[in-house]
Amino acid sequence: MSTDDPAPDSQTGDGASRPKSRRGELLVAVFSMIVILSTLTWLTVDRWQIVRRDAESNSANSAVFLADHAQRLFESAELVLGETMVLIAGLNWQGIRGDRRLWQSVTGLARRFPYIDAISLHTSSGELALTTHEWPPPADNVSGRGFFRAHLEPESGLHVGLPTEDEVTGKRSFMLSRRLEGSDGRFFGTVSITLNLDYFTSFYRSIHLRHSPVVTLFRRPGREVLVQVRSDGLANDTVLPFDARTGTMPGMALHAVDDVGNLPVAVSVAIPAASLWAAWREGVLAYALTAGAALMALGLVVASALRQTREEGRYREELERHVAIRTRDLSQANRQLEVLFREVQHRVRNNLQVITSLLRLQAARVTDPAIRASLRQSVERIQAMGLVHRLLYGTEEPSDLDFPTYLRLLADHLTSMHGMRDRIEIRTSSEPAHLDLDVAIPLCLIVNEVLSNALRHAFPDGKGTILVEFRPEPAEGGRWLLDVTDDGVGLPPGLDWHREGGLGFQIVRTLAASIGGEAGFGNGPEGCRGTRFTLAFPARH
Amino acid sequence: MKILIVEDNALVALDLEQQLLSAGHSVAGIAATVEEAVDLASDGANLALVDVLLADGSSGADAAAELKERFNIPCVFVTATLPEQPEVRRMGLGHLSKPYTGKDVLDTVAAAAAMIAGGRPANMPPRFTPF
Repeated sequence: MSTDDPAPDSQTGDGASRPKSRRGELLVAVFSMIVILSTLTWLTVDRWQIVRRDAESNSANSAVFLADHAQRLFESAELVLGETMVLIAGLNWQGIRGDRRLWQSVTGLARRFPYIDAISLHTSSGELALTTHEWPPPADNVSGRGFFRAHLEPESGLHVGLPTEDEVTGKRSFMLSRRLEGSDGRFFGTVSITLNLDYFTSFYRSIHLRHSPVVTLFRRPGREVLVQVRSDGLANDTVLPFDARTGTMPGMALHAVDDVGNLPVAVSVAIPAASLWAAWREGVLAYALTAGAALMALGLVVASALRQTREEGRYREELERHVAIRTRDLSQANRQLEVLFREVQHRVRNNLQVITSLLRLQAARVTDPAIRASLRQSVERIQAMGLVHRLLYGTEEPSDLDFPTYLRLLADHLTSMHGMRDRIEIRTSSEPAHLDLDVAIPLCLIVNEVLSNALRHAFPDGKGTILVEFRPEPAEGGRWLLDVTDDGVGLPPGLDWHREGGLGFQIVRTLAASIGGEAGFGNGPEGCRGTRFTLAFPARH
Repeated sequence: MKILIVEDNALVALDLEQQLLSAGHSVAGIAATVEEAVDLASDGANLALVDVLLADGSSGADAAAELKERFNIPCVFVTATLPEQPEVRRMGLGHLSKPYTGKDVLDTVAAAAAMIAGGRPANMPPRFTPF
């Protein structure tokens, strides 16, 4: 057996489908990666929207809550201012300065509120007339201060001052003040409350607000900061001012502002951009980790699939190579067998020719007509076998004989050989049948004997018809039926073909028995002359 | 009719010669190789009956070609199996298949004579295939 490499085209086989399948796997992998990354992108964007909406809602709610708290506190402070004004009603400045009981009442009033540092009264010239800080009041004049000048105007209402820091205590505070008027409506002086900013600071720090906002209590309209607390725990002394143009603070992502009642004060809750990003990052981290794990798993699966595909490709190539080699070897062996078979057929037919020639040469030297006739019959029998081999040559199934074709050829050959082509007609009628040679050759010789016998003896006047039929026997399943009928003179009366000693009959008997057949000679159909031969034999042995 | 027999099997050739002579034909000779066929053809013949495989391994087709081209002698191939090459068919009038009967031989010669004369054979023997 040859182990040469097969032809290049047989090596490649259906190789084009392998890159295709790899491309398909890669496409699926890329598609999966796109899906994962798209989902991650969508989730992160969505997360940002959620965080922002949550922060907006929280900051707005916080601003409302803190503004309400400030309003309550300012209302209390206004009540204290009103109470103080009631206490000094009808008194002049001299009486107020010298009334210790009044000072004690006002001081008691101030102490009732933790966020009130002090209550002060100033005369129309700005002199300090009473302060809950100490008795008697120290010399002080506020005529140059902003709040005092603001109250010089009638209808000045509640004035909110800017924050200040006590030089000694370091306490930070701001002032609420009102104009005092005499019964004639003239400017009498001012009453003011100093509010402790630390109270606000500690209150704002005591409540937990999400997203670490910057809470600012500021004075409208100039947005001067009164209190500012950063709840991110990084509070420092530096106050974040409002931008004069935009009214926002730098670095803040969101601003929620709510006015404190009708007062010129408002609360701002601003959320730093950094806080929003931190909240977003915290939410997205889980997504990113999940997506990362999915991508890693996908990568492993793809790598494994590609490796498997490559291995399968190598195995398939190897298999195809072996198959190609085997196929080529088998084809070669088949061709050799074919050549051998043709050669054998050629030699068989040549040998049959040699035998025929020998018999003819012998016959030419014999003077006895009976012996010459016997030799001629032997030649005919060899010719009948030669026809079988002629049909087998060139056929794709050398072990089967196409019997209908054989019948036609044999009929033509016999009428031609006996010189009866124009006078004796042999009609053949056969179902399609491919017979095994073990059956075919005896059957062919039987038909040859029967037809030769008919041609020699049935038609003394040289004219007639022979009908040859070959078909499956209807009644007996699995058997073939050969029926040869002629319209000749019929068998000699009293002939028992079973006992007849002629070689022809003997050959028919012997060959019929060899294929398990039942043969019989008889007269033609009733009312007609002639001979009928029938042979039934099993289809398979 | 003068007929040249190109056949390497002596017995078959002898039988052929006997059949032809008994039918009144004359035989130009029996050749077993191309060389012998060419030698015998120089005496002239009307027809050659040529086997395809000859004694020295030479081809009957070559013999037929020589006879046709050099001596204008038409051929009938007499062989069990005819090679499938188309050029073989161009070299002859037809093919008589072995094993044949004596009548086949005589009918084939008659058919070949009719073909040489440019007519149609009256009786085509079953084993003879005209080209």
